[in-house]
Amino acid sequence: MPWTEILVAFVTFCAIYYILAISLNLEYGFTGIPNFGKVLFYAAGAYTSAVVTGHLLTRLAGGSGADVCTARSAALRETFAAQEPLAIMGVFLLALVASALVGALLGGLLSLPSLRVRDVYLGLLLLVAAEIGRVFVRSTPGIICGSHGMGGIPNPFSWVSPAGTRYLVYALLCVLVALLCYWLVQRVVHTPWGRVLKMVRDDEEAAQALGKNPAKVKIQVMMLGSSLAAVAGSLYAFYSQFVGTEDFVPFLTFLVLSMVILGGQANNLGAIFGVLVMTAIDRFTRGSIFSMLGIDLPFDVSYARYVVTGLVLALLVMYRPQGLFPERPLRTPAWEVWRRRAKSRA
Amino acid sequence: MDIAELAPPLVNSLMLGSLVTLMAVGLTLTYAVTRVLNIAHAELVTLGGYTLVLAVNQWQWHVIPAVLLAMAVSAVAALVMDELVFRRMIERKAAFLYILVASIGVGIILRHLIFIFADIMGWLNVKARVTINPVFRLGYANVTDLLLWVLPIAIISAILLYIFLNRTRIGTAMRAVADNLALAAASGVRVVLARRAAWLVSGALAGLAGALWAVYSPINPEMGWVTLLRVVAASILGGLTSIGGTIAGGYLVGFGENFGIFFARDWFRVPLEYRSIITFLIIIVVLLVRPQGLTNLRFPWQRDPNRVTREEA
Repeated sequence: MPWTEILVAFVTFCAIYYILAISLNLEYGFTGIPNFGKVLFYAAGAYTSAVVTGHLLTRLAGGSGADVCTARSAALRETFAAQEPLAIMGVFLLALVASALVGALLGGLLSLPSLRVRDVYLGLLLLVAAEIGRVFVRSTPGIICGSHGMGGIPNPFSWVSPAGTRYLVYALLCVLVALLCYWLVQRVVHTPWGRVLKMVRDDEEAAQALGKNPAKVKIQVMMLGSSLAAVAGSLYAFYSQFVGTEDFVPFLTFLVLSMVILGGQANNLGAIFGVLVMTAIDRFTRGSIFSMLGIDLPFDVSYARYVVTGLVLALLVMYRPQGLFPERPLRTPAWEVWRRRAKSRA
Repeated sequence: MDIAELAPPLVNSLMLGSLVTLMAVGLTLTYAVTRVLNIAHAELVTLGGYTLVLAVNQWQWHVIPAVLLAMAVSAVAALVMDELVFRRMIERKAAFLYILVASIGVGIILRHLIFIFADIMGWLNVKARVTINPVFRLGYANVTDLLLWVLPIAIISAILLYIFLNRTRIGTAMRAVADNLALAAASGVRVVLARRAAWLVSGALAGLAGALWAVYSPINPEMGWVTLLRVVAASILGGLTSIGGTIAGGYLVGFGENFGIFFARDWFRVPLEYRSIITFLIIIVVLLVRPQGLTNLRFPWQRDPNRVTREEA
């Protein structure tokens, strides 16, 4: 049943992209940091997961940590994961936590430029930073097998068979993690701190004049956002069971940006709509689906998909840069009090 | 070290520097005149490259009219891009960041349209059928006739652009628009004309660079995008507004990459693949430390023209 497989993959990617979208929304939509290097933090999560599985799981399986790149080592990890549910689940959880920590650290580090440059220049700088990371990893065989990438990152539910059920369970897990991230971000932004984010976005000098510290807020936001992106990267690594530098190109950042703009600036519920639309464009226009429908094109369909994505992005910033759904006031205690008063007056 | 070993990086630097300069002056020109940091400039380069390949490989044209055709196609594409997207956004006073994102979107569209064309033609990796002949040997390197063309073309284009901007009416209008749009419009400068001229010239230079690149080495639809960060580095070194600074920046990127990786490999055994990181670091360092790039460089004993001393105040 390929159609159910396609649907399960769609749900998984929606969940992963939704985590990325709310993390970018936190930085770009709420705080006004144009983090065009988002893919770097996503990659950081995926690579941290590869390191943890490559070294820990291989050792647990009785292999040596020296040749994690070989196909034999990958096969060893996979058969071990299929037999030992506890070990692979443990490694998965550890990798998830480690990714979140590495993401937070890297985010804190790369928030430092945002204290000096702003706007277009900051976006450009973060984009370049992400490319440095990609080229560096690609050219260094010592880090996760360099340009070859590393396979054999087993699905944490490898012991569940048949494969269809396994992927379904994993998709549900991704949705669960995405809901958790959503809940966490909503909890964090519907506070006075969340209003400071928007103040920094709208007028940094005014925020300073009111005794807020924009630098501190930016560092905190980048740490939280990058940590979420790294969690998404970790989920992706365990889903695709392979990490390679070609998965982490700047295009992905702009795909996520189009989701955020489509859903509305600083609107995490609206982002669900953006994620559904863009992921549908991304997943349902694969060559395999077209050949299943009996449509034969003289070129690779992927290119048409990119054209559509670019079109959506360009039209959105031209006509609705604030997004389709409006930004809503944050439900902070102060806002609740104001609303109650407004109601009693009416 | 044998001095002849320095010849290959020198020849490569001159070639890369000239091509990057040709691309970067266009990027600087449109930014200076219309305040659009056009990421899709990369795709204008690719478009020029593929136009040359189409004319030379498919239609059997001679290389010189093919280069002119490439320039024309890219110039028209640049103008259309501006009329359809950027001019409308500027008229609606869109934020710089949104214009940047729009240009990224336009770039994605154009790049993958070229991908579709290249895939249909079977040209995902193609070289123009133009033979390059070595003219003389310099150390361990061959100096080709292509380099002897590219170097003067880059320099003459830069000089022509300088004369155009400083000695012609339309060039003066463009500089006026770049300095102060409202004042220029109030003084009767034909703002729209200046704008269109800037985009046409910028596109033509990008097409020229792309066409020369297709003669120099095999191209693919991502060639412009891959080179873009070098071009941005050169423009940022020129403060995004100074043509002279951009030319210096283009050659600085060319020499920095080739000699940087040469010495890094010689002294620290750094593999060649790291060479693009040199360019990336240039961008980051310039943005963080000196956002105005090479413009307004002063020696320590020179006076800062922008600082007002106590006596003047």
